[in-house]
Amino acid sequence: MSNSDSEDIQVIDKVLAGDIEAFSVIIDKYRDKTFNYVYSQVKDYDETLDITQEIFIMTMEALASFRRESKFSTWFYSIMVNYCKNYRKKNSRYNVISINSSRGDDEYDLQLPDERENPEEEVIMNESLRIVKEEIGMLPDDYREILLLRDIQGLSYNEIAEILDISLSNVKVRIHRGREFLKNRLTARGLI
Amino acid sequence: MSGDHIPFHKMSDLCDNEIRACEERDSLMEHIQSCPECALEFRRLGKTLDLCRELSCISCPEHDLPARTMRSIRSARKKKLLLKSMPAMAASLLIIAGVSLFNAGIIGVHDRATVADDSSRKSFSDSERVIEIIRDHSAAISQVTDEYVEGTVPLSSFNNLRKHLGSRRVAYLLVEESDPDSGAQWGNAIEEVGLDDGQSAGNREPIPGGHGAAAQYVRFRVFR
Repeated sequence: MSNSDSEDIQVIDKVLAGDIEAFSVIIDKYRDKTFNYVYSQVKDYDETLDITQEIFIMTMEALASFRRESKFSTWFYSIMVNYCKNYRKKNSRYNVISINSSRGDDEYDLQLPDERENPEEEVIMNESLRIVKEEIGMLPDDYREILLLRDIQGLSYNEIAEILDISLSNVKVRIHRGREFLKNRLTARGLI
Repeated sequence: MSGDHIPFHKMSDLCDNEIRACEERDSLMEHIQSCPECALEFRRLGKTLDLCRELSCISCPEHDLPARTMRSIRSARKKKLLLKSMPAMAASLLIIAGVSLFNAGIIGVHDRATVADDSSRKSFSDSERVIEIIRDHSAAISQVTDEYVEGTVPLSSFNNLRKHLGSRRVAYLLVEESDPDSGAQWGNAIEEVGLDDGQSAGNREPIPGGHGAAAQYVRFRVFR
């Protein structure tokens, strides 16, 4: 078990012992990844905030049922992925994906770590990331889901197989196809 | 490899270090270095993955999200606790309301009146029964009050009458005449209280007939 995992387990033990406030450590640790994943799936800023919050509340409520057979992060991501899947299913008939690459009203400002000294470079990078986000948003559901987990959240093939409840070979196939799809789209947009 | 170029899934595996065999990995890298087309594809894939990784560095712009979420968790907990205690609270309120209403006389008075009614009805029907028994034994009723039924019976019938009156409280005295107006000395009366049915029916000692030759009647009072 890695340090990160054992830290999670310590926090969970505290929460289950009645120290609810300890859960804020979990929120702090996973909020960015959750927010990014949800935003990529939902594409609505306010809705993303509500859903992110809802996912943490749901996790907190279900904490007693976490059987520790897998890592906490895997269990948490399963909740997150399923929540988004259900959300998309419920709202699929109302979703209209814009073909235009123009910036939507609902798009929030990217907050990258301030490591670039050159402001021009930062502007270019922000624009590139905006395009990547947009293209990821237009990927077929299965590919988008798996690319978010693998290439943005950085999860292993095994973790993804567990979260999505699919075979390892299926995970690999989807990752390859999703990447190819995205690479071709970014090439077509002249970004790479 | 399909044809002369590296298939995309191999490049993807290569990026993820999923090609374990060193020989295969070396051979793929060698090909990429010598084939401009595969090199371009491989660079594009690498750039795509780099951009994806950059996206993972984006932080949630709402800095108070943890505090907001904790507030929601706390309020959800409170709600849950409240809902859990709702049945107990409702039951307590009902009990308090019931007791208050009972004490205020809004409910329960009817029940008390009913009990009183029942007891007076019982008493009334018992008086009727007493009168019936007295009549059955050829006795004359002279007075019916709230407290007793008074009458006169020939001495010969009294024992039988007394037997049928059972456990009721009876006061009696021997008189010469059946006339109710003739002065009866109730202060000298014999009073019997509550013999049970079995005793009164079978074991009572009968009044002896010889209380004086003149005594022909028994004046009695059967109390409620």
